[in-house]
Amino acid sequence: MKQKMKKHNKIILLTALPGLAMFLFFIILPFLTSARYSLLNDVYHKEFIGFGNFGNVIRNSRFRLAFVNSFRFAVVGVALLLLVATALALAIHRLKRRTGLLRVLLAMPVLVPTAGIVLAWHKVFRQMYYYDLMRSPVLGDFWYVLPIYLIYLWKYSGLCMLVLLAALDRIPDDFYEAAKLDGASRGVCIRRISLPLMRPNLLLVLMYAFMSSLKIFKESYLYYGETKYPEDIAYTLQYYMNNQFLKMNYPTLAVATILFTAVIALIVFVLYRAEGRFSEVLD
Amino acid sequence: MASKRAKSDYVIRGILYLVAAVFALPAVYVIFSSFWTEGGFGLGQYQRLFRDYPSYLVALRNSFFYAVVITAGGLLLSVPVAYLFAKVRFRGRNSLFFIYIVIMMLPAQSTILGQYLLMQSLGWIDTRQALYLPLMLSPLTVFLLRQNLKLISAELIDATRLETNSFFVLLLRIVLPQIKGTIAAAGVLLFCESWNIIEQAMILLPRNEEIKPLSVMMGRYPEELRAACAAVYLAPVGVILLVFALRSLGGGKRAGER
Repeated sequence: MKQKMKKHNKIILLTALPGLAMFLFFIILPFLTSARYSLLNDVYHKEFIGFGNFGNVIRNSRFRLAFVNSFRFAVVGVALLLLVATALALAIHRLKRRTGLLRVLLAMPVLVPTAGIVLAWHKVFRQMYYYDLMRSPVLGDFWYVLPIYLIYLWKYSGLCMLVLLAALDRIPDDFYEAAKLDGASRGVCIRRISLPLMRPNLLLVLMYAFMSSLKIFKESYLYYGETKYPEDIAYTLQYYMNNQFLKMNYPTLAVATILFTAVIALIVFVLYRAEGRFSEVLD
Repeated sequence: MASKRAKSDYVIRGILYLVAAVFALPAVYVIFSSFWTEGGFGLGQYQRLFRDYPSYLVALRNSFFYAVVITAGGLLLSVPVAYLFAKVRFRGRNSLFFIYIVIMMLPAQSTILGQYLLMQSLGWIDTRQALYLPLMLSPLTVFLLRQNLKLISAELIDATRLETNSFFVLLLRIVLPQIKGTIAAAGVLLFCESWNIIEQAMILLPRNEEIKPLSVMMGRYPEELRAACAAVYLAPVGVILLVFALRSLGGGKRAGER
């Protein structure tokens, strides 16, 4: 028996080898070679200057602007997305039956290709009324970047809702029946039963929402008309990194990538640990 | 008591359908405007598009090519890797998986520099494989498959091992049927993601117009044909929506895609 397992494990390893090898070659290796650039001064001279680049990049005002914008979008966006997804999930959960079509319709936006739908966003937001809003002195900036938040919520709420529903669907009705017999109100049911049992999935959604807040650059880029420099408020890290690439500032780009990756790794690590505590979903 | 419950449920259902309608509005608008030509309804946009811009169909074909290759390759490569992470115990497995996840989180901008340099050194800039090879490695797919595989009990696998020596029987008869749903879901997600590649295509395929996907060629076509361009581009997603919607109405039990 043990021999069979060992033999099987060998086969598994063999079949997994192409995938792992490609991962090493096409993802890990490039990452390392690009990291090497972070220690060089520029593409033409390639002289080793240690961590000098890191200092330059961190002090750069454009980088800081980009970092703040990305950070703000990640925090605010993810929070809003969690709220919307949870509300939708709880609503569907309450309906119990014949929610199949609703689930599909609400989750669809995540599959829509960006270039095919940006037309609609322009139709809604690139209008006189909106330009006037953007010119208002108080919240002008906010209106400028609001479309991106809305697109983000539109795109990902449905899928996140499905992930949360995966947990909610597993809660036996008896729990709620018993609670109601004890006189629990709807709100208490949600707070004491639904939400806690949803927790592992909530963390999963947090991770996915965070990951998606980084990917929203595609929408942002197309929405602002494929420009290299949108207004300051919308200038995120990806714009910064994209521009560095186009200017062939590889060392700067490499530094930004490393910092970016380090922050992401940290956040993922924290979430990974947190999720480990609530379930053995991620082992 | 029962009727009071039913009424508020109707309201909730109504609101949710309203939200779904709002969600659908952008796509509906695009499809609608694609039939608007010369101040009336008609196929004018489509006619002009296919007649005057042959590059559109080339780009469409390219997008299909990439999406199919990446999805098929991605699933084929990911199933064994997911199985490895799910069922085989080895040292450093968790740390390795953690790295996998972190990479999954990284947007294109983090990896594009390295990949560009790699492709340059391989002489693969402006080739198809530069685009699809790296994208076949979808950590998200591995993640989803692993989740599902972990749910397959070890006892079941051991019992099967008692019956047969062949690994392939184990795989085909026992494992695959249980992960069919996840493979379908992961496949759909992967397909739609590759249908949507933009950043990598722009950087790795800078000059070769023949192999550029539709996502980056979109901007080429005149304003008045934009809606038709977009509508055709949205079509595959529409088909997927139809399939899922019909299944959700027919089945009754199975809902959602996860």
